[in-house]
Amino acid sequence: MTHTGLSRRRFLQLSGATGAALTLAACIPSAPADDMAGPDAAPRVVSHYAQGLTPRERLETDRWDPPQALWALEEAFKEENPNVDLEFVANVGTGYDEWMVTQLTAGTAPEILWYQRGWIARDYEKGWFNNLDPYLSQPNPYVDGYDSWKDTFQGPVIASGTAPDGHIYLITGDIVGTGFFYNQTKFDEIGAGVPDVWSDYQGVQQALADTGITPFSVSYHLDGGTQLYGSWTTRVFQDVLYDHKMEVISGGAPVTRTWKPGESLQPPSMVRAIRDGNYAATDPEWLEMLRLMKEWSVYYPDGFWALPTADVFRLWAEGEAAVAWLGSWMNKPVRNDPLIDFEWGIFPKMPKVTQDSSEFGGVDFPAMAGVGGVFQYITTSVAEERGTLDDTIDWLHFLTAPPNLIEALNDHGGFAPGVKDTTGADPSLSVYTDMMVEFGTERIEPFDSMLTREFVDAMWRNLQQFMAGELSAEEMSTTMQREMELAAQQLLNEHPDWAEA
Amino acid sequence: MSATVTAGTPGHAASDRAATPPSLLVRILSYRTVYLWLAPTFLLLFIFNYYPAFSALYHSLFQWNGANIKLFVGVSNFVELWHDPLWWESFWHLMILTIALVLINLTFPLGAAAMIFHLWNMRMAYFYRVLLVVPMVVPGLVVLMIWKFIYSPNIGLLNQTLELVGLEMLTRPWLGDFKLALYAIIFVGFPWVAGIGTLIYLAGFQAIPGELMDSAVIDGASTWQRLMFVELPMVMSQIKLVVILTIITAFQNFTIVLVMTGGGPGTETLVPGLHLYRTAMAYNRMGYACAIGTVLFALTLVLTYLNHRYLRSSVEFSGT
Repeated sequence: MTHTGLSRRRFLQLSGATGAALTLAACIPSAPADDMAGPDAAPRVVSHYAQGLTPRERLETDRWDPPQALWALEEAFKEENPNVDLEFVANVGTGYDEWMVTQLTAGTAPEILWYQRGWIARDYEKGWFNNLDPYLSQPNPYVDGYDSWKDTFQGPVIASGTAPDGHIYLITGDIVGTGFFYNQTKFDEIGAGVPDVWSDYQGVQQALADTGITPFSVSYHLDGGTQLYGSWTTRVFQDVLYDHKMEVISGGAPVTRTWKPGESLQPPSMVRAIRDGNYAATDPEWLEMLRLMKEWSVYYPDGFWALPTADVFRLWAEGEAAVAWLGSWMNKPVRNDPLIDFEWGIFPKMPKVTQDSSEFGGVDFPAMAGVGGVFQYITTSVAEERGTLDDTIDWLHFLTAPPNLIEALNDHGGFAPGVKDTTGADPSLSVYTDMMVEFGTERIEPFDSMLTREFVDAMWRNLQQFMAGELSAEEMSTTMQREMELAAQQLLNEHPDWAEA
Repeated sequence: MSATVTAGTPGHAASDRAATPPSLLVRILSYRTVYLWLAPTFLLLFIFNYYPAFSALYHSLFQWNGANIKLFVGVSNFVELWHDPLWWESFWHLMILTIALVLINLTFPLGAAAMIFHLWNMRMAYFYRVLLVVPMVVPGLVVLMIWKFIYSPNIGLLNQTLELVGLEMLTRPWLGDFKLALYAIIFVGFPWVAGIGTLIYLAGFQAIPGELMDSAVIDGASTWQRLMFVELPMVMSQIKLVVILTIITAFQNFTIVLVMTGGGPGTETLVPGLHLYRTAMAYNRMGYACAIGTVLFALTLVLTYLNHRYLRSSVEFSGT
């Protein structure tokens, strides 16, 4: 047999050369961004996961225009920064949390990631994102008349991105709200108005049910339904039912209901309250919350625990449900959806649970609204490694300049701006901000961010089982108390400084 | 072999004993081109298959959150796994799923393959074979989304059909029913014939020697007798292969559960793969997730060994 391939010498030479080249390539440090500057240098890339603001073309299946303002803003930014390219990462949808954790763990995350302020407490020590205090204390070059970038925001809005260590890790630029969207035509048909108190509302719901319509559209599917509606419902009920006990939970300090996130009971306070037995899933208030939720659920759609979350809006838009709990982010769709051919309105507030309905009732519900919706962004620590952190901050400076922020938020249509100068903001969103300012927001940290991810997962699974009738209130309460204690202990182990106020 | 082979003659035997066998390096160098071409494959195999497996084994001994905490904890992750009720619940679901899928793959695809094999019209046999293959090109996720829509409680095809034929009492949130959700997942893909199993069985049937079939006919065997006593024994190696592949796939796959139910309602459809995924990606408990992965890996390894063993034994049935 004749070898027509490589000679032994040639093979060894090739192997050696390839190996040496690979070793050299691995050892050479990546060039810092400054070294690449210059007219002929390749543009530096800043990738941005903009969540609901991610621009995209309208599809045939879209019933309203998707957001596109960031493209126009990108163009304007590029004119001033020709050496920076922006990349908008397509929306992930369901499973975003898992995707984000994977990207952050692997060091492949975009420079800017959408992030919930409630997650900061559990992640801020992992080195995944940057402390933004040094940047916030400097002026925003795109805004005149303010001493610092931080000063351009409404105080509680930017402060909402503060971690337990006192530093701000999140740029928050908007305000979000939810409300009971009701089919006024259906309400008129049964001669009902917007009820003020819970017992009246139950009567209205029964009257609606008697006409064959689903009174309240909601989903407790684990694809996001429980995480949304379970979270909203528990957080507003807890605030009312625990009203008399807030001082006990806080360890003695009064807890005023405001719309300012930093003034509520944060995770460290909740961990201490659980440890000291001042807050427990076996509390009568907790069990009362479960009772009220269960009673309400008779007016939910059949099989609501298996209803795909997207169907919540569809049932209401097609007139099959009388009320849907929707967010301000649906403001634009609701106004433009051709499916909606009835008069509709938004409850100015949730009907009050009086002591007729519950022994712990008697105070108004808080607004199911708050700081931080679509515009909550962290800058990931990989931006520093890639040499693009300054460009990333520059893009955020540009984006949060009030006219630009308002242009982006108005284009989306579902969020009010969180900057001081709100000139040009969409007035139709005032219903949510008014509710938020008038009634304040919940004082107890929501389950989503109160403890660990395992705890919240167990919470929603158990809640779904309870709501579906597979678990009694006592069983759920006992199970969640165990989970709560485990999670609190885990957090105390991870953050020993949380042990004391 | 050629008749000119002279190995075994006394003279050559003596010279063979005298010759020193070439060293490993020399043998590798003499086939260097072959090794060079194979290298990328093995490099990628090592990076994407072997390295993660060994890395998981190593990290299963740590309390590791994938970021700033990495503490050596010995086998405590495995001890915790042993006492983890979610693990045992998910493992029980896996057993139900696996048994159901094995039974399904032992019947429906086998029946479909037997029917196609028995078609006299070769053109029709070809047509049906293509018909079974075509759905395989549809992305799996699309199929799952269609089934999710079929099961949808309000607008789903299944409930709408039941209402249409006057069986409203049977309508239910199929994927939200705590007693039926797991079985609803098993039902996905009904009638389960458009898959690789059917093709494997069909290939087995087509490899049966014609003489064997002819002699069975001459001996007066009925169609049923031919199927039971000639054809099925002849495709036994394919049956074993499909069973083992089904078990391995069932152990590894959690996509269907993730997409259809997210493990719910409650934890009624949770499987170990999804438990691992959530432990790692949602709870950041990478070390514990690695322990789950290691146990699954060990179980799969045993099954792969069985697969390997049964595949080798198939030679006796190959008929070639």
